[in-house]
Amino acid sequence: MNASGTIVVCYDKASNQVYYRVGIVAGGHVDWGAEQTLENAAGVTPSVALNDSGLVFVVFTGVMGTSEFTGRLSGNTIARTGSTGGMNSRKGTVGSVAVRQNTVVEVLANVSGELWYRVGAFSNGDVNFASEGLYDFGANPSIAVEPNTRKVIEVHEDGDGQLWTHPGMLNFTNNDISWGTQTQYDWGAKPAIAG
Amino acid sequence: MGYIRGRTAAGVALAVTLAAALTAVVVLRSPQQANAAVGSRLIEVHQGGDGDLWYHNVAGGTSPPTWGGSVRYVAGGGFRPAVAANGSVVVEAHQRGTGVGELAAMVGLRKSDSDLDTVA
Repeated sequence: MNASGTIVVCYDKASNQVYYRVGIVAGGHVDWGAEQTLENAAGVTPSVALNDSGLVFVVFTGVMGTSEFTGRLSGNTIARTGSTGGMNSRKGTVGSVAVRQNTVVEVLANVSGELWYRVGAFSNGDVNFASEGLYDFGANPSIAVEPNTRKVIEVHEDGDGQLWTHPGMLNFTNNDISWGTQTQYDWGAKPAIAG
Repeated sequence: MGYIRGRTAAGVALAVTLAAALTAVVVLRSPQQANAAVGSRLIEVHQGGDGDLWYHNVAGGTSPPTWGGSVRYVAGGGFRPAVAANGSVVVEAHQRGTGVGELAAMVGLRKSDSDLDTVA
């Protein structure tokens, strides 16, 4: 990995606010920048994705449900470029997001145990979502876009101690996902996946 | 494993204790740069019992994706893991307790496309 490997970590504290740090991976460690608050991001359980152009998308649980943040990374600071909130506030409570180039993939779990996905694209400082749908049932979903293909791999809890994965194929033309068959792969909790 | 640290204006390392917790999610910039070295690989992490943390290698190029066996990389004291990968480099972050407390980060190196990854 070269010197451009940059990391953003988002987290919450006791207060209802999303915080972040920007880090650089070098020599087997991460040189973290100072802690900062994510602008107008009142919530918990954030998930963040960052593309090569420095565009940042964060999904987190706000007071009214899932909220979103779109911004741009410059140095160690993320400046907000888009609006928070959005249509998925009625769909999800805990979410995860992944990006590949300009494409944004988001998965959400709601209080009814439904798992929803959305696919969109960065556009003029915001993300325009083109598709959404119910794809499974469970909790704590996480999703990754496989680096060399159009495949997406999602993982989640089933609420009974089992971990399941749900593969899919991303269509960049219409920004939608064709989902395959889910399979159980392990037991545990709080799965996360990255490509 | 290293704690997430901040620095004072004088440049003195200052351990940062995070007052609360929950999901810490990490994403690497420029994720495609070293992909040729490791092929279609993904990495999954999850929380087991008693604060153990485990990972799976996932070969995403097959249909369906092929999952490797689970490997424990933290024995106790690990909760709510998050992971990012950039080619051969994997960065993981997790809570050191179940609630308010410290966050820890680890950096690992994938060995090869045909071998299991190792989180160092």
